[in-house]
Amino acid sequence: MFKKPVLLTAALASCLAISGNAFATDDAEIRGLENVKQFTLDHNERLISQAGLLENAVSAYADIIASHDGNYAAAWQAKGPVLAGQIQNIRTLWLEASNQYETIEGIVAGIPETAKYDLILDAGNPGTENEDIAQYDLTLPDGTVLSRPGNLFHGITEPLFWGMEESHIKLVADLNDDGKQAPGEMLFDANLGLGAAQALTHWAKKLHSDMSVWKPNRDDAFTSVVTMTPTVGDYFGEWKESQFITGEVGAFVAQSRLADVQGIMGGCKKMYFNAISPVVSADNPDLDSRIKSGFEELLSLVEDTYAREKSGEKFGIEEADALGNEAQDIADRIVAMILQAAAQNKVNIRG
Amino acid sequence: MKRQLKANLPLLISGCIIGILIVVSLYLLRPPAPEPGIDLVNIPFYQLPFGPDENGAERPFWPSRLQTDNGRLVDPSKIQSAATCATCHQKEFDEWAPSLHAIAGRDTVYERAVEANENLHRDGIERARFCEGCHAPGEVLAGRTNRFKSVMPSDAETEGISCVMCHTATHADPLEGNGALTLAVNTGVDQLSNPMILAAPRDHARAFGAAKTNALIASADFCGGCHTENYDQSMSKATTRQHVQSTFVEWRDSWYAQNDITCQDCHMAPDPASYVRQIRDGDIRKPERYAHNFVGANYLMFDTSLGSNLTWLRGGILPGLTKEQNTRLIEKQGTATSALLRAAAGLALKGSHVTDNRLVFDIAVQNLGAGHNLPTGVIDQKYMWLEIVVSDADGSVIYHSGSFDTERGQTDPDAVIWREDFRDSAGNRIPDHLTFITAEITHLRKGVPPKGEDIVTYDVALSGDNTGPYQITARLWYRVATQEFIFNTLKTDLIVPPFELVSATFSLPADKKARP
Amino acid sequence: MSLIRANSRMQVLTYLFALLLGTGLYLEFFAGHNWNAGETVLLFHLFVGLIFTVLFLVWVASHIKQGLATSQRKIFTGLSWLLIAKYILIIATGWLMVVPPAIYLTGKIWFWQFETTYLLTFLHLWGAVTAMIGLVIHLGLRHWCNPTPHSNRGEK
Repeated sequence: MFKKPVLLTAALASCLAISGNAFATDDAEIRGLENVKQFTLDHNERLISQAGLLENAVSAYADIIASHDGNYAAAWQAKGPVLAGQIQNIRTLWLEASNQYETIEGIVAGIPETAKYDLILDAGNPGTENEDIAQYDLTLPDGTVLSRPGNLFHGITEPLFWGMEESHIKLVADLNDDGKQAPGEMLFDANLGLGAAQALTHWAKKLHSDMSVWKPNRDDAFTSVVTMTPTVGDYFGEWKESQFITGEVGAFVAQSRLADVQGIMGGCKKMYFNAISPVVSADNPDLDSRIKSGFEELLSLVEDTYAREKSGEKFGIEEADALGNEAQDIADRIVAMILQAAAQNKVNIRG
Repeated sequence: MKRQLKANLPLLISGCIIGILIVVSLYLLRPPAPEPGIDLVNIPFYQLPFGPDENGAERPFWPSRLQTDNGRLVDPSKIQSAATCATCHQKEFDEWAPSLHAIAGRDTVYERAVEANENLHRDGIERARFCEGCHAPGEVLAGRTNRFKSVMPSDAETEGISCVMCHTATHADPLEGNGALTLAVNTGVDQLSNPMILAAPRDHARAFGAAKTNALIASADFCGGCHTENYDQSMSKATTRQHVQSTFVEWRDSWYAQNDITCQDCHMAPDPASYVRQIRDGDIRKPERYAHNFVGANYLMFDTSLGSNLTWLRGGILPGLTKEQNTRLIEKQGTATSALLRAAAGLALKGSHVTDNRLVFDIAVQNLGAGHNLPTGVIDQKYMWLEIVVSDADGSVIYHSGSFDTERGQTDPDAVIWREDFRDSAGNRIPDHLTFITAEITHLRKGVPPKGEDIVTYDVALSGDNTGPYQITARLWYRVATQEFIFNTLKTDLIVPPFELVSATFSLPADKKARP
Repeated sequence: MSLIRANSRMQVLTYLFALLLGTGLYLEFFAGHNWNAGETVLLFHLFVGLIFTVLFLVWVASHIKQGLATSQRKIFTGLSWLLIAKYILIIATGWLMVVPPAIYLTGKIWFWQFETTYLLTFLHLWGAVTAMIGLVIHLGLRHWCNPTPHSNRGEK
């Protein structure tokens, strides 16, 4: 007699529960996705800012060279220490700009509308290659136009600023004034340097304008976390090297990266908790819980290490190494689990 | 029939039959064991940018030629870590732990070189399977050499060429190279618990050391699987196959192969240098045992004078080792490495003549102890050169070739150098080991073959002030990396010190042919 | 009554021995088919071996006292002692092989040299095979085990 109404009520209740959960999931996911976009735009803006600083630094360098009528030897003779300081500054700024881009590279490369910027900025080949060509021409201050010259970070500016490309070395110079001529001690081509630095700013801005109209979705959220989380290894690696390499072999990277690690991993955690966790927990709460624990563990490790460093503690090789490996190991586990969740939810990871 | 026999024989027979039935029933009733290993489709987001083979089969490890025996990927949690093996095989672990095999996948020089190559292409990480197949086989076989690493990490994959990567091998193709090894790492191992292994250690030994595997890993063919390296279109810009590392073939065509002196005999002898000298003296008996130290030529990775930088260069400390153990084992291995290098080469003055204004002499660089070319391997970074200093009767230096600038880390560009060069499609030299854009391999001078020599002629101008007798000091140097590579790839100004393989001094009368 | 009990115990021992031999032969010759499945067989072998040892030692003492001590044929007596020696060898080598896992369970690692392991396995396995043959011969030859109230001689 009363079986049917009871069953109907139960069915209705369960439907409401499911749809309510779905609404909650969608809502949380939408908020999380907005965070993804904001995170990406934030780092894009920092990239523009860093690229601007880099451009200014290279411009100052180029001004000195220009004030000596392009005579690098004369410029070095007159302003050697200034030029040496500028080159060191340029390298530091380059690293900062590159790091900002690396943070969002996964997203940029993964979104069809912005993928071309990844080729231009960081990953594309010159036109002499057959595939993945960076589709742009580089106009230099003297009017020269380089057709399809390759990507700006690793293809042009890195080898230029570090003297890895012999044809762009204008003068071999003892930058650190130690009486030795080590590799990288040189004055680079100011014309090419300035043109490339200006192009970096230009394309970073173009990226930002396209990124602003981008509508993030679930695929983008997953992609961003699985591409950004593993960068903990690179940042930790730089921090690790700064702990014990500095002063012994003169590594260029000589600053703690823990602040960056904390910021980026914090962003990843936020994205996961806000945008992805609702999706994963709906089907696999156990996996969701393990991923969350992973993020908690990772952040706790980073924060604890950073707090110790700020309190003046100097880490030994073995400890720094162990901490870096531990962080990378946790990050790798997190990413592996998120990718498994992505597969379960038929998410398309791009990039 | 006797009553007791009547009473007991049925029991014996039935006991045996029931025993067999129990085993057979268990075998039949148990749920079918899953095929060991992981199917490719179960590795989310695994990238296969190079397509299938000519038969349409997927190639999950390509462009490395590494394979598993059942074609499946490996569950990383099932790969035994060397640190675990050390629980019982401590001696073997201690021998292996400082070796280049142990750090093959983690040393910083290698890691940075791989990263530089990966950055050359959008599918660079997948292309790097070519490198990792030999350097970090566990990582490749587990499916972690992938842009999106959906496989959980494990200790074992950080251990480079660990125990199971040799002790499960079932096939090698030393001429194909590029990691042409088949490993039964899915099927040829046991997963027994420690007490069970201790209860039946022979089973454990048989699981790992099937007769086929034992015979294979004792052969030079096995080493050739990785110590043969060819570049082709699958991983580089080469349009025809370029021989980058020919160590196996160098050995195969040598006196050593003819006399059954294998790679293992020298490189796994407990004291490799003593063994090489024993061979040089004509005694070709096998070593009394084979150690797992794999002593080679890379002295840099054992140079404890580098202090903390050595730990950095080696990629940290291996799981299962303390700092003290690590240092002690490295020092021991370093001593063996230096001794082995010094047992390899010789120098001889082969001929000379003096005219009024010229001193001409021939120096023979001899490969006395290596069963392969000297230098061997991928020698775009490792290179050897000859330094010659000629002084006259007054002690004045009248000629100097092959000097090394210890401040800049540069070798005299006019020196006689044994090195190969990677060249890009435009023919330009690539100084920093960028495999993926290499189109051609050229040689400044090919390595000196086993028991062979390479004669170098020097023609020195004499001035009227020079008087004999002349003294020629010859030094043969070896270095494991070019300075350009260190700077470009590691972004440091660490000077890689050269190693003196051998030196000799010859006195040269001014008016007659000299004999060393 | 006691004879029946003795015979039952003997038959249990015979049965256990057959199981041990069967599982032992499996471990030696067929474990390679699936090393991991062999672990179950090995555990069973160890468990049965433990029971066999206890039962055998209790039984053999009374058997020697009641049976072997009264044996009157020299060759039979000699063969019987040899058979007992084989069983002692099998049990001893079995227990020696169990020492390493037993020590492991106490939290320490110790094991025999590999050559020693080979020797122990060889003695254990082939001792068991020859003991089985010896047991069949022994049972076929023995004669005192069917005493009747009229005779102290066994069945012919």
